[in-house]
Amino acid sequence: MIQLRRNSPPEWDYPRYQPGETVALFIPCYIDQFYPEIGEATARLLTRLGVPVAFPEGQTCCGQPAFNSGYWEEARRVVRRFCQAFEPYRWIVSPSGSCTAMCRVFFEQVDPDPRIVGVGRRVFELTEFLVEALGLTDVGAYFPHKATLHVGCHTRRELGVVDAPLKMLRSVRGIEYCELPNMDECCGFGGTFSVKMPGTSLAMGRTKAENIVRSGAEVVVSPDISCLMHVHGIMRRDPAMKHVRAMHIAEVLNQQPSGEPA
Amino acid sequence: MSHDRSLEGAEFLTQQTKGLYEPAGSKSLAESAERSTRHNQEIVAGIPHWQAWREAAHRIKAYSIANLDKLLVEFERNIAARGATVLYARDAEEANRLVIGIAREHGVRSVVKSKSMVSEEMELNHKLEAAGIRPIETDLGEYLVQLAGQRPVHIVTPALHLSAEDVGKLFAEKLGEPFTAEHRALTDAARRHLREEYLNAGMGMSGVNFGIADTGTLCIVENEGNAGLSTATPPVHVALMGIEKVIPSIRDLPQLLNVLARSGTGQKLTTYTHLIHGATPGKKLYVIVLDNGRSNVLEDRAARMALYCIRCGACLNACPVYRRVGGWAYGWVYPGPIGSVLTPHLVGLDKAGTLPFASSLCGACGEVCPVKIDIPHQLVHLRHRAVNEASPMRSLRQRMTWQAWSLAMGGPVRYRMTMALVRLGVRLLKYVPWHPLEIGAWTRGRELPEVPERPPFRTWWRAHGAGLKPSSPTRSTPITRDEQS
Amino acid sequence: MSSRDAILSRIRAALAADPPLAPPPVPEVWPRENPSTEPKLERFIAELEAVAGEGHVCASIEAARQKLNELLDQLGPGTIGAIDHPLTRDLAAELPPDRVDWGSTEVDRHAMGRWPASIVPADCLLADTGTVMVVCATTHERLMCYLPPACIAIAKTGRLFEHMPAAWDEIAPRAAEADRRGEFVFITGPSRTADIEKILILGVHGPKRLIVLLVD
Repeated sequence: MIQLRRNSPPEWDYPRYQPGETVALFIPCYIDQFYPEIGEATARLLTRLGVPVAFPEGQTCCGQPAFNSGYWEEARRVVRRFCQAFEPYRWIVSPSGSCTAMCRVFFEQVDPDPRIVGVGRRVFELTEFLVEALGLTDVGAYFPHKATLHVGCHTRRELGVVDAPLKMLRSVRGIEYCELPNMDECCGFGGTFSVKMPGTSLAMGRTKAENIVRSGAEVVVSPDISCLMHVHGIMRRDPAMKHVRAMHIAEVLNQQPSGEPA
Repeated sequence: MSHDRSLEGAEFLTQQTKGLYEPAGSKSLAESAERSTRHNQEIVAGIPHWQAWREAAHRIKAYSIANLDKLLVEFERNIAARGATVLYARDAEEANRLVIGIAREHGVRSVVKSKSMVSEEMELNHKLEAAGIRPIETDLGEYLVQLAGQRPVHIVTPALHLSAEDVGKLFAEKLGEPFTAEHRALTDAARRHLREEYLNAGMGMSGVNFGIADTGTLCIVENEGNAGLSTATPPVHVALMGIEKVIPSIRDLPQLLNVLARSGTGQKLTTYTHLIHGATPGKKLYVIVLDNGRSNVLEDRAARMALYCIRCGACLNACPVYRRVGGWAYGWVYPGPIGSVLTPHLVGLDKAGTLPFASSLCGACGEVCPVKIDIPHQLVHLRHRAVNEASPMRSLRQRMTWQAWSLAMGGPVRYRMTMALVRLGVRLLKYVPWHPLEIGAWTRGRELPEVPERPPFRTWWRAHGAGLKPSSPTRSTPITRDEQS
Repeated sequence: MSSRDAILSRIRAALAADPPLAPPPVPEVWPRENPSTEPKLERFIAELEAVAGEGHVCASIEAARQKLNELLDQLGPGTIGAIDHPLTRDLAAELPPDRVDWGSTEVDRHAMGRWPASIVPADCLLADTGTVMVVCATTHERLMCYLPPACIAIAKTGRLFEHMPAAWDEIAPRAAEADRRGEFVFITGPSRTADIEKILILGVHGPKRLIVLLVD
């Protein structure tokens, strides 16, 4: 059972999205730079669903790497910049559960200023926004492959989000959903943990990789590409595993029956 | 407080870089820990009010810690009125002196001990031996590690790392028993050897699971019967209690027992739950109340929750790091997640400052904790302290790196410039055979992410963002939660 | 300054800045179904057996005595230790007087360690967990619960409670009595350990067998 936190339902109800409200996209640094297709898929998906999107160009980072490493004072400057960029927006949506958790759960520890906390609480992970605020599970996606779902720990336990991505993935047409064994176990990324405790991080990642292979999936899908960066990075090194593709759920949800992304 | 001896086998506590916490646990420990967690998950899934139980237990503990001084005074008064002698010890050294003093006063030559983590903090067995008094651990797991000359690897199952073959060899070597790896025979051998010890010992020692303030009662839980025998057989009973173990009322007990047994061993209740009403006629009862650094936890307001711990061990079992590095890797008495959030307070951040970093912050520990200690938040709090105070993790290089990072992330122009450099660096790394520091730590087991041919998202947005036209409006009413399930 | 004062004043100082916290309500998170005796008894026996205890519902005290004889035949000759109580006196009424030790002070501890069984009175029973509570006022009574390899508890079915919180209304005030000594022990099955490879073994230091005889 998921331990539910103060900053997630059911402690509070999701606010209702009013049609026409603009959603500001928070595209984390590593997606911006290394997986821009995920940002594009997110923007196109929301647009296709009738949501006007904006991208505040002043955004940089949510501050999580510094925060998790204990460098809260250094994180504070970055968090303030985040809030400056996003404050005008009622809805902030991000294709990263872990960055969302940083905003919604941990901003308060970095800076208790109510404006900063307020901005943090308006950040939503993509699938939870789609399911809880928009009320959708089926977005008309088509992806005829065997796919398994990995949900990152911050998404699962800090945000309490695990049903949303699962429902959405299972609603995709043509998909053959393969359950991931021991789905709730950490993949071992943990941000700087991956390089501070590399041996253990790799051991945990290998276990996750083996479970992915055991699931029989051709593709591992996640709302957290940061986890997959680590696990898939391990799988790409292993001849027995490198046939498995890694995709962000936004990309899968954006796959249309014509075979082309929208 | 000198803890150098305690840090044997824990060189990582002074190391900062590569090689930190390499997997070294035993396979049987990892498998047993995982099995326990899965078993507990099944049990908990069948209890509809489990979350309410956790919340109730949490509140009892919160109230207890918030009123600790008053409750200790009340506990002392009520149990002293029932014939117990209550003694206070600031630290391990003082506690050891008190125990040895009591043993000498009563002419004790051997002591039977039931499980007490506090006695591990004190390194009591060594001190007793040095004083010519023979300590005998009676909890089977503790007995095994005592025979093997090792430290416990787990707070509930101390010998989780030993296979049956290991135990058989141990008994053959140390007890002269014929070798067997059969669990029943091994347990019977232990029973036989320990029986005599109970009957001969001049003193019995125990821990305390809950010290009940309003009645002056000691509550001790166990499965083997060794605590019952250790405390009832010898003429003197010495109970060791951390200051945080006191609870307000006898009425709080069922709620705490309920979550303790389930989280600890997957049982509804342990085989024996003892409510000891002070000194049994004809016997002496001493209760030693030990601080040993717990006041440090109290003084750090954000960390106070760590004192709610009821020592169930569920967080250890759930922790993917603990499963892989094993119990000794944590360097001191308390392994696993709770160890990482307590040890730095009890032995000092200067020695244990790396422990809070031994975690991927997955949160499995906080999820299973029966008293809802927010362990992940405790971990980041201690990380913050560790980099700012005297500790092995305070590092000028790291500080400068993060300050540079903070500058780079301080605005979009600096961000774009920094990221361009990062992309270039990752491209060039392909041609470099050896990767330094953290980069090497990544690439020794994983491929780096590919630098995409296409430009960053921002660049795409500048070209295409304005052209994105929302299609039809969305449904105006979000579907209710019922509809979704 | 004594250690006591040093510790207490340090705690006080650490907590001083905090607003007072109200005591939590006694949680009502336990469902109380208030079943009748029949289902409670069934539940008790089932739970007792699930923890490897043995339960026998005896139609009368005579039937219980007969059961006792059967058990003693299995358990072997030798002194039976007992907690002195009307229930146990009744149960043991037909045994030869020198068979039972009611708490003599001169007994040699090592001899006591060889007694094959004990008989103890159950003060109350908890159906939800198959638990027997025994009130032990003296060292002898405490040892009777742990030392012999078999412990036979005699209980009245009227003392069956649904679960621990249901029994607590009655137990808590008794535990609070200023002149209460000894212990209340809640026994849930025979002693056990899983310390070797997490494989469950029954009968470690405490009894290997826990037998409950229930009479009306």
